[in-house]
Amino acid sequence: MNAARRESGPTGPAALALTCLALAGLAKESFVILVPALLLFWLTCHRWFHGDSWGHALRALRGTLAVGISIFSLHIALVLATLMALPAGYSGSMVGLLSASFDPKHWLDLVSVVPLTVRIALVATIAVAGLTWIEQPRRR
Amino acid sequence: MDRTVLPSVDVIASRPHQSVSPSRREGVAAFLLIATAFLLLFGSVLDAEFYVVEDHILFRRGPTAFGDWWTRVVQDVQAYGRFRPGYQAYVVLGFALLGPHPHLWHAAVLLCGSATCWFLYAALRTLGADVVSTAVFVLLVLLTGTQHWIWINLIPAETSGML
Repeated sequence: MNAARRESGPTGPAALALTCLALAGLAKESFVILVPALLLFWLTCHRWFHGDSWGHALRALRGTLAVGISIFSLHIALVLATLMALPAGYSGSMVGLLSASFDPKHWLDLVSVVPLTVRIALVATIAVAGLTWIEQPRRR
Repeated sequence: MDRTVLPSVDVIASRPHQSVSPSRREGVAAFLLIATAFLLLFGSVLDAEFYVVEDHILFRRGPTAFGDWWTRVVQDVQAYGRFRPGYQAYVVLGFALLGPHPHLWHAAVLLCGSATCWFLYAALRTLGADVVSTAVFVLLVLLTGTQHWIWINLIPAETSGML
């Protein structure tokens, strides 16, 4: 029940795991979009092994999640900044940032793949929020 | 249904579950088996030379290791619009450690793949999966699909990223 006191920030193995997440994102851009899914998995595992509610798990892992979200935000910002700085470069051409390289079919391919991850993250977030909301009256 | 007989899913999920790390003996045995599987499946690459199309980028050296790393990061951004400092560190450190020896590079990549699969095995066992399920899962990751090329090629960023 004292989940928030059990773990408030990333230490030891959690710090190592966050470092590995950051390094994977720096190795290849596509690993960055796995970060939210891995953080959600982390949260689920914490709840599973500690028998906490979603709310308690969120509070207990707030430091770790904050660092993970910061890593994700920083990596995404770096990737987008690099892409936008060179829209005519190799990566910009691949994703069709210029009208000359824009290909609706290619964008359709991207839309059919990338939003799948976004949809999963969105559904998972709604599920976590819903379960947290459902559990509130029971505790009261 | 009588809820006193069968606990609800919520009650089951709210119970603390035991995290059990595999023993040292099991861990060593698992690593040896995984390494053996890598050698049996991909061991022939140990005799291979460098692949002429892409492996040349491993050997573009600068004045110092750090200088070469930063030069590569900047060139990656300028030439390809990609920001991959971690991957460039893998290339620079790899050359510093292994030099222009293809057999060492191939051995290191096989070792990297073995370590990745071992970490996956240890993580699944710690989460409570049984040995057979974990072994099947690791084998599926190792063998199925087209992703297994990352275990035998020297260039992909996915090899170090997965590790």
